[in-house]
Amino acid sequence: MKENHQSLEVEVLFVGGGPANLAGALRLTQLIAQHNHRISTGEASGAPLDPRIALIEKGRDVGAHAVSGALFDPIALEELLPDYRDRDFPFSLRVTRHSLRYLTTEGNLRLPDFLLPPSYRQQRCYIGSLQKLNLWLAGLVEAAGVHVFSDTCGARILYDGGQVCGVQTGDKGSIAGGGRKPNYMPGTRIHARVTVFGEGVHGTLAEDLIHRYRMREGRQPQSYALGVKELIRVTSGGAPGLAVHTLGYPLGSRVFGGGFCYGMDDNLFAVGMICGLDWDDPQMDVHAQLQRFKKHPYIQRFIRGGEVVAYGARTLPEGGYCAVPRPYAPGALLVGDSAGFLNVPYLKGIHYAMKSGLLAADTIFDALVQGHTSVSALSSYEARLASSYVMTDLYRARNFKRAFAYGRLPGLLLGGLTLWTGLGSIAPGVVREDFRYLRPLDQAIRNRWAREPAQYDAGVLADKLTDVYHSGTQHREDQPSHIRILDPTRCLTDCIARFGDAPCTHFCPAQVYELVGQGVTRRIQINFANCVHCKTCVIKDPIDISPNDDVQNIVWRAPAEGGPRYQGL
Amino acid sequence: MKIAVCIKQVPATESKLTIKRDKTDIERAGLSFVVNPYDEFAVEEALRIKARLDAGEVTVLSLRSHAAQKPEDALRACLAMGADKAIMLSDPAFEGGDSYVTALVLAAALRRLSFDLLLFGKQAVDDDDGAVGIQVAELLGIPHVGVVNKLEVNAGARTMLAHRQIEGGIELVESPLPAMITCQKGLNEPRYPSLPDIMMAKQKPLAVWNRETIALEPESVGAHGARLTIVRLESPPPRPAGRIIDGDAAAAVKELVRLLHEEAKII
Repeated sequence: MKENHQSLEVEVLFVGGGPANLAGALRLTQLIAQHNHRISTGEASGAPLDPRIALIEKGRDVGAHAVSGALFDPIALEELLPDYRDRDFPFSLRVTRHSLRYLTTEGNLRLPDFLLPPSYRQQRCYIGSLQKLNLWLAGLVEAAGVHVFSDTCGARILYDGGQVCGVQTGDKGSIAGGGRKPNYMPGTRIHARVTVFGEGVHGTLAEDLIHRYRMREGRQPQSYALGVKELIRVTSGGAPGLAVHTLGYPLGSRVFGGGFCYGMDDNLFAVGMICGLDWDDPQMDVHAQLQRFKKHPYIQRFIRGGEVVAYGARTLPEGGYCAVPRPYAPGALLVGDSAGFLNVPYLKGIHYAMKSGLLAADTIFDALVQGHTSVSALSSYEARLASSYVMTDLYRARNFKRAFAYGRLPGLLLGGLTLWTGLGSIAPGVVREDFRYLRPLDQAIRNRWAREPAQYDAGVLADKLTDVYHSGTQHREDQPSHIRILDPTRCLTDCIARFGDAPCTHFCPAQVYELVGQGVTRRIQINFANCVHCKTCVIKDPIDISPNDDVQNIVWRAPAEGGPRYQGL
Repeated sequence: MKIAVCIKQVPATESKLTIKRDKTDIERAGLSFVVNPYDEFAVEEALRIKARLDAGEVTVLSLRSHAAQKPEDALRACLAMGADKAIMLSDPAFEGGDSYVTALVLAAALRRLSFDLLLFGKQAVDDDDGAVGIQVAELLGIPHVGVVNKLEVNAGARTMLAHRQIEGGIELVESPLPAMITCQKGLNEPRYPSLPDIMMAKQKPLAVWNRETIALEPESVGAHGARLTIVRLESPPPRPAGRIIDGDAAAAVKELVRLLHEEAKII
């Protein structure tokens, strides 16, 4: 069938409405306004610039798919908007009490603050919501003249020869099985001289770009974590300004991760659990671990009697310095979590994302002034990153997570040592993709807590489907599934046979995967309408279909419609 | 043919609503808002009529009834679908009203426009009153047909034939124009706005009218003029947990029948 794609011509296209691209788009408009002002006053020569800039975001509103802790370090925002506090900035609460605790089954041990290097203390940070931050930034970006299109996903990258020349957006109104609703609308081809990919962790198009231009060559594979988070409202006894990070219970010593509990205004608590996806246990379920964490006496003292009001889940890039891909390609730049700019021991990525967006904007502005956007003009982005705190911070933290390969306690000591000293080369060498660490059920190192079934109740302990409801997730039931299993027979003959269970039915934090049927009818059912777009499945799926192309059995492409509608996450 | 469409911005249907401490309203801060889905049918129908006749103008109106609403976003969405111009009725005096004062304000605004056809959604999905459109028609003294799922307009004869789904059949109502209809699901499938159309919508006229523009007295509108008072909002009682009956099918069915008979007492 011949498609009638509309097209749209822009100079710069930002794909993804997260902190990196929003900061980048805003910075670009600032640089252009300053440039034009200098020309109008005669301070500079040359032609004024008036490029058309667009930003697309797959969430129904900007921020609808954004979830983070979030402790927000304002360093990059101060650079972008020195007067941000006077512009209806959505956060006012800063961390007043921070502690790092080790949880045992019943007790807790506060780790002394002096163990933490000064740069890893949290006191300058705001406690806030990434969804609210993004929505606020989007308002400023739009007011600055950028065309912001929410509810618009990038479906594929457009190429012109060897060069990226934009993105085609998703077709709307498709029906599963190839049909079309009467209001079907084919995607728009947005042509751009420079396309900036900031889709968050494991972006559909960012990964396409990385593979096409071999941007991970000579780098370590990215390693990831899954974070799940709930907002819990208690009737009284909030603790605004509290920030607790925990190690230990309920995670086994071979799981890299921990919990957090942040006290917010309005008697709200943000409670979450983050676990490195390199776990070995095929039945590991981070959502269930969060429920166990919430039952711990130390956490219960804050949230007892409360009610879950929101839920979200998202993967994080934890590979750090050694896993950052080459961040540019002909006609394209990579920013934020799509490039892996996250500092693991500091537990933060938002300000690195924003800073990378600012540096991308600086690069693009120079290219626009010079009039050419060739790869040589864009490649300076990498050098700008290298001399900024994005890469110097990541370099200092480069061995922290790897030290945990020795186990939790040695890892903590060794990892802490690497942060204090900046020493390298003390951690085991080879890092493999997360899914390769999975082991058969009977060989996996588990702990006694993981064998107890998690218990749910109607109040503060939530089962997965209740939490999916709290995420505001919606996909049209008749839309085509955005998740495919390439070879369903291998789920049985390969995956379940090898691991003793179907890991996807456990690791998915939104119950998308279900094992149904008996005997010959046994199969994995995909409840795609539950999907919160966290990307755990594409990363942790253990069936390697084509190792050279990083193709695993589960294929996840951003859907043209739907997803979560996060509120305050 | 000039067509006016009144729309309301409502909380997104997947929003989680909480009741304010004083129990007289929901908490609106932080909610996402969308165009009321039934109003989208109305906008789409107006655009189709204009396209069929290859002439006319579609004007969209919306009233800000709460400070947290941003009706300009909803109106821009309708302009992106293809409406020609938009009017936002916004004044602190309008806030906190009921369906009657909403109708009063809309009617006062519509008197300043000329139109042949007036469209509403059959109800707003937030308060589910379904009362504003009918009251506007009454205030303007024009005929109305409610809950329409097919509409035929005869521009030459200045009449319309509205189809309504009724129990076991379809009722056809003919009316002279100008007239008002409220739109029901099934009337059409609202279009997705295209990206170029979203960009163009920013250039289309969006007027803001306040209380003085439409010459209404402050005590007649908003909370002052309202005839209804919300006494209290309550959440529905939580649904008790379901029960799964284990065992093989034959035994489970037996047990189910027993429970339905003895415990639920419905068979």
